[in-house]
Amino acid sequence: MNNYKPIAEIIESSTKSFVAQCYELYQAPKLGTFVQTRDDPSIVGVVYNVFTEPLDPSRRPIARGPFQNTQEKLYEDNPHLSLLFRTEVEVFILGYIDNSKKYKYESPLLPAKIHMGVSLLTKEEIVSFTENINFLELLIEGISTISEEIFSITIRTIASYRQDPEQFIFDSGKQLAGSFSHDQQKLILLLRKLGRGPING
Amino acid sequence: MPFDFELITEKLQKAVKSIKSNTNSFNQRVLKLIDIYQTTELGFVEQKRTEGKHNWISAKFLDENSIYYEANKLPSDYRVIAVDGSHIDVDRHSPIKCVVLNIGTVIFTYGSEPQAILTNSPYTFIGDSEINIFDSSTTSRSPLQGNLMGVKRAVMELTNLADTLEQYADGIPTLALIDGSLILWSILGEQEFVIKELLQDQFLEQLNRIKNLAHQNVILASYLSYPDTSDVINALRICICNENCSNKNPCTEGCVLVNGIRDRDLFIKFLPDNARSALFESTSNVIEKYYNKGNEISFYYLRIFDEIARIELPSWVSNDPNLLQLSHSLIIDQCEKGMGYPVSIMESHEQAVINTNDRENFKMLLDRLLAEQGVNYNTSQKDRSKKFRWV
Repeated sequence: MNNYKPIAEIIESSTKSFVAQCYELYQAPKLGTFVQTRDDPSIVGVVYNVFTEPLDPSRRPIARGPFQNTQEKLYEDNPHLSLLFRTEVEVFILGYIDNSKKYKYESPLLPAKIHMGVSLLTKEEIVSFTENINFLELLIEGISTISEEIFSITIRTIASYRQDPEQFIFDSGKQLAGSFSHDQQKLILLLRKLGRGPING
Repeated sequence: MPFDFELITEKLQKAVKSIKSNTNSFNQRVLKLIDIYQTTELGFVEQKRTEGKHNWISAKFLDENSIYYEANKLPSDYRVIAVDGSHIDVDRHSPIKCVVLNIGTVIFTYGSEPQAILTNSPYTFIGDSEINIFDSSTTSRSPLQGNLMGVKRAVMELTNLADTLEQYADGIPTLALIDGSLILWSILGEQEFVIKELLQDQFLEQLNRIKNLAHQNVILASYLSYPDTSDVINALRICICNENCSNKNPCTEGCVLVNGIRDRDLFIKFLPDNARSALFESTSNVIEKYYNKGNEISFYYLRIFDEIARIELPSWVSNDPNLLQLSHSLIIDQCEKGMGYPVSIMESHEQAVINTNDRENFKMLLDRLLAEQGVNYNTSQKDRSKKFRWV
């Protein structure tokens, strides 16, 4: 496991997904990033949505006009702004790590607890978690939730950590072909998106 | 029963038409007053005011009245601390007499190390001893509700401001800003023991605590948006009125000319953007009778985003040219950041506000606690009829 450093905290939780509020405004993990909770069991998932919104939903931001300086200057001149908004991530659950430190590619039986910390997985941990192609089961099941685009981003991100990225994308495509043999249109769409190649960085 | 708008629309239409037809004459009177304001000598205004032949509350002119001032450059590092309050008044139908007060405080640091802190502090006043002001020499008491609760809130806001300033004052220019007035007008008419406790022992004590931080570059100011005050107009009125006139017996020279005109009507036409007026001093009865030396309240008007605001300052700020200038430039900056209204007051209000949900939750909490203790909650029939609407 990595040296645990939380970057966000769970504020909504279910057995399929959770929402975490980032500790720093705009400092969210990118789409397709693997994260884990410091819960027991530790739940592993992938970021499928990132958004920033006002803390108080009744106070909508209004445009400040083109006369404003750069974003950095705007936030320097108005330091309270960073306290009035929050950046959140939605995470789709791909499995969990059981008591014997084994990966389970299935939904946890209970959701993660509210206020649990969320940290990033290292490249090595991502490679380790995705070594078994079964990790794709929940991800493929969740395409309707996370969208075809996020599925593609996730696979192409994992591919970039592999020694043979093209092979990993090819293997994932084969799994897709099995799952979507009944829906050729969707399969072609997914394969076309995977065909964009690995995402580096 | 739906509200019948038809019944009130006709009267409203007439009122709106009369405003429109009076606008030209109103503007002409304002222009004439601006002319008088610019040409009347400072000494003459003060001479007429101190003659005391009229009893209108009129501003003491401390400056050349025709002058206005542009804002200076901002210091490289500065801080703004603002407070605001909100409260839940006593529910006289409830078996437990309780007031809830929430004070919002913001601390904004600008410059080389920008930082913001937003906090709020809730307080409760429960039971007879806490929700009444007692006269120690008699059995008299005044309940903290309505107007008096507003005064108590002003005291608590100033106390929180003084606490925060003592913690943060470190020599960098710090604007301590409150919403409203530094003049506790509303306490006039209360009994002397109430005035002594809330104004003399508490409010003025906090003003003194803040005054003691003047050497740390602390500037205390209050901000009144779109003020209804007429202190300057009243001073001009004294100069032009017939000496025998009064509010009951208005003269044709001054009284008719100033009728319905407030200070803001004059300064919105006189001041350029971001400029402040000359400095004045309030001659309110409450200040003359109770405020101690050094805490007399001066004020100027400020034009910002096509609005006039009244800025009130204790005399220890207005007597120091450096602090006075800083108050002007820092308040302009706050208004620019808040798109027309000081951002620190806006955010302290947001911290303080007890919204409808919170109020409902507070009532529910109280009901639950009473029920847990088996207290029979015999509310009034009137309260019940409002809570449970039925046909």
